Amino acid sequence: MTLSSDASVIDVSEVTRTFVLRRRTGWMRRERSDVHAVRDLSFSVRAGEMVGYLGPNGAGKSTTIKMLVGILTPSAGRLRVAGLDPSRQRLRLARRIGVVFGQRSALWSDLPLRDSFDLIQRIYRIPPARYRQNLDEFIQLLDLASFIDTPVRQLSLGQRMRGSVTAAFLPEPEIVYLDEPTIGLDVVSKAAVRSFLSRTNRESGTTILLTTHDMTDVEQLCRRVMVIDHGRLGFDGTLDELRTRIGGVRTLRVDLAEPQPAMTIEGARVVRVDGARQWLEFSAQDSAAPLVSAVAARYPLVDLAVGEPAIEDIVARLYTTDRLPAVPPSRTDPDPTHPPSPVR
Amino acid sequence: MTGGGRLGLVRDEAALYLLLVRAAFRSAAQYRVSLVMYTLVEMAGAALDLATIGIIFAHLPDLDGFALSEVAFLYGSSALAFALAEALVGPLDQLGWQIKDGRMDATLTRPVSVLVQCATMDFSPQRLGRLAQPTAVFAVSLATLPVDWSPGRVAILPMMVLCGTMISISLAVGVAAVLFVAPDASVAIAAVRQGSALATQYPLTIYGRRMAMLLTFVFPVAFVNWQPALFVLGRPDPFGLPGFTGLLSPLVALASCLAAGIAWSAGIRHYRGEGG
Amino acid sequence: MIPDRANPPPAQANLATLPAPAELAAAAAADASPRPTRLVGSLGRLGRLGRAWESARMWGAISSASARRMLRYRAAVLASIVSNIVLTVLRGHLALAVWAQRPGLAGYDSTAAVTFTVLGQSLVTTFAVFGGMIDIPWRVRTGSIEVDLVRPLGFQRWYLGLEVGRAAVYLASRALPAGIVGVLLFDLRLPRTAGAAAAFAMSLGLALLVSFGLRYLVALSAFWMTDFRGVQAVSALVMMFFSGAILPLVLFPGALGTVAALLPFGAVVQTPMDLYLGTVDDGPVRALAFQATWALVLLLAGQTLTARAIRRLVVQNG
Ligand SMILES: Nc1ncnc2c1ncn2[C@@H]1O[C@H](COP(=O)(O)OP(=O)(O)OP(=O)(O)O)[C@@H](O)[C@H]1O
Ligand SMILES: [Mg+2]
Repeated sequence: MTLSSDASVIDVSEVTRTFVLRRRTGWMRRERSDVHAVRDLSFSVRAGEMVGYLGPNGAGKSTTIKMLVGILTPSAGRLRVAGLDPSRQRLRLARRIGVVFGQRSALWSDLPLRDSFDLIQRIYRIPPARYRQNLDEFIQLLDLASFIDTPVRQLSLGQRMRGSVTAAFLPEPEIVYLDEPTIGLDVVSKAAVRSFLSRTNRESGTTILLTTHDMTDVEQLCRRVMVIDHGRLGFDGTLDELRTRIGGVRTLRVDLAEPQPAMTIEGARVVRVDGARQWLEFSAQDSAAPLVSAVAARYPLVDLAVGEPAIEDIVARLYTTDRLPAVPPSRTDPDPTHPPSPVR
Repeated sequence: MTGGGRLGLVRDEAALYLLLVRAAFRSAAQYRVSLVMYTLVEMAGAALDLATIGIIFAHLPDLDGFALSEVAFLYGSSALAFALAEALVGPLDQLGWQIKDGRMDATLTRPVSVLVQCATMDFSPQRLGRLAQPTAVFAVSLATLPVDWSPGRVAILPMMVLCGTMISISLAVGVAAVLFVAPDASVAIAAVRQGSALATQYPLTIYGRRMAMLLTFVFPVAFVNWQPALFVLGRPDPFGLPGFTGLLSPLVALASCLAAGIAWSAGIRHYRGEGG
Repeated sequence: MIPDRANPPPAQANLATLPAPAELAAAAAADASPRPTRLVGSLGRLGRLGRAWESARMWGAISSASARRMLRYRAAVLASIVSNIVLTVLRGHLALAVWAQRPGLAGYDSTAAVTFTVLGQSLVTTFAVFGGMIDIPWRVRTGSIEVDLVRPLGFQRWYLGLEVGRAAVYLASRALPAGIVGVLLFDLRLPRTAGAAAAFAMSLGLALLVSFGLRYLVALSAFWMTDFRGVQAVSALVMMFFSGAILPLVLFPGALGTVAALLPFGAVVQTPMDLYLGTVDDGPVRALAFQATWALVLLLAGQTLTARAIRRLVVQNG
């Protein structure tokens, strides 16, 4: 069970998952239709990585996680987690992984939070001293102290989520999947969960795969991002690569000496004018330098600022344009010149 | 519910009630298989009670001096009253769950009386199917009772069913009112239903004097059928109560409706939702 | 963080066997961790006895959590205590009335008949003869069942663990109070010999297994049916009727009686009651064997069906 340094703990190759839907169309007639939740999905995750798994609603994120946990079998393809076949060796795998399903809780809703934790200690056979040490630490990190003796039913969404995260990490799993762990959380709870995740990932080397719709989660936590849409992997790489690849727009804000009509500059477009201040959009792949000198040459420039494309915008573009850039041949060897190709 | 000058309001609520029942019927028609299954279950469940009586009388000529036709009369009238009550306001057990998972908040904000909403909440046609067997037993017992049918006795019969239904509705509503304060006590509703059905299916004498007095004056289920039945059967009260007691059913029914109404509105006032 | 095998882990060093999984992707090596080992397989060196002890404590904790969860609903507990007492008293009176008129009916004297009724009511609640009480259908419908599958414990055992807790609560909060009131109001019979008492105690455990086995199979059917309540209602009726709770199975006439005596439902109420009253025909061993056989058959059937249910869920997902 010793893992070499570049061994992958999660191995997904050409996995497809099809749901068969049967719709009643008449008294006895039924219609059958297939939903391809995941198609030809391949990726691997190395031990200790923290990966953000993005995609619009219905993209297949939860389906992927369920297959990785072993509560769904792939319709085709091969899946290995920690060397095990999840759906066949579900129970053996269960000891080594943790899962947080954003919507459903593994906690006992009628009992105080602490009771659920105590039960986890027994089920996962965590040595008492180790358990106490972990729990104390988690209570402090996730700020559970004020409600750990409250029945889960009475907890707020954010408190419950912090409880669920604790429950998943208490047995010190090697791999943790989090399906929308920050859904419905306020800023403080989000920050607590995020710093907890990054700390655990860093200090215990826990491999973490998380899905989210909150781009701040991704920006703050994940060096690596995978984007899935319509069941296909559209992107796999770092955030910076994503920025370059999707070719979002950057903005140039210029303050002129006096109000002017909208400027006309090659390679950029004025999107807003407000008195002496104007905003220009230009391609994220282009350098800002020629643009700045072009502006300075023709207008009385007082001040300027370059805005990076917001990650939200990038992802929104990914989701809305049907054109996803092709998966780079290798995650570590991105090829920025690779032309985008249509997915469908 | 019992407001005097609010007849128009009552009529509106009745119209809404029928509207909701119709909607429930239409949605239930979507699941025909379940519908048939439930109806069968209801019938089997009712048959079970009847089978118990049958087995008892297979071994005994009479029960505490009451012949089979008389016990069938008691059983039929009691089962009919409880079935009617349930058909009209439903089991109400759901109320506890509603309150617990916070669905009650929405119910309280709708411009329809809470009771009407709760009564139609999971209205299903099988509630009506439940009426079949008690009606049949009641009719058969009437035909076989060795009673001289004077107009007075005949007139008592519909009153008996009506008052019995009213009393059992008020029992259900009164207990359901408690759920607003203690939503997890929904078992109490089923218990009261089962207990009062059991108590009224047999001659009250078998439960002994103390129990009988309790069931007459505290939980007035004796007025559901036992007291009027004594009048119909022309029997003196075995516990020595005066002969006209059987005619007091309408009064008892009205009083219990009033009490249930008060309890219900008090319950709603004390509703504080989940999360406390 | 590079695993440092020379450096002994802090607490529980003797239990830890597995090194941390390799280096991390993030360049956070500088942050030396106070947690150089993982817990997985950490019990590898515990002896067989120690393991059994740990396992017993775990199941104890699961049952106890299940019981504590029920006891949190005070009003429900109170309401069921009262209603159980009322139902027991009413049924007791009915039995008295019948047996007062026909002493010796079905081979019972009136003391035995009332005992049968009061005890029967207790057994019905403790073993949930009215059906249900297993959460699976609800969890399947809401999707919470996924959480059950992520747990490193067998599915059927988990629910059996919960059931033990429930039965304990029902025994203490419903059966016992009603039994006490029964003792105060009626003339009840105690087991005649210590042997009968012991056999009765054993049969209670087996009755729980049979009752769980039956209801578990019913609950599992929720994996295949969208509308589960019909099955639940039918099964509850059948179970109630054939358990002997409504009427002693000996009163069932002819072929119905023969069949009823062979079905598993009698093992839940009738058999423990016969052992208590000492009215078993062929001795207690035979009665207990009858229960044990059904318990085994039902639990094995449950196991087989569980595997199929999970496969269905995992392969088709609904
Ligand atoms: N049990 C099921 N039966 C049929 N179709 C399903 C089932 N589960 C998921 N799907 C379909 O598979 C697709 C992927 O669903 P999935 O839940 O994986 O999306 P997701 O990426 O998690 O979306 P979200 O962001 O909304 O959580 C969707 O089109 C969904 O309708
Ligand atoms: Mg999802």
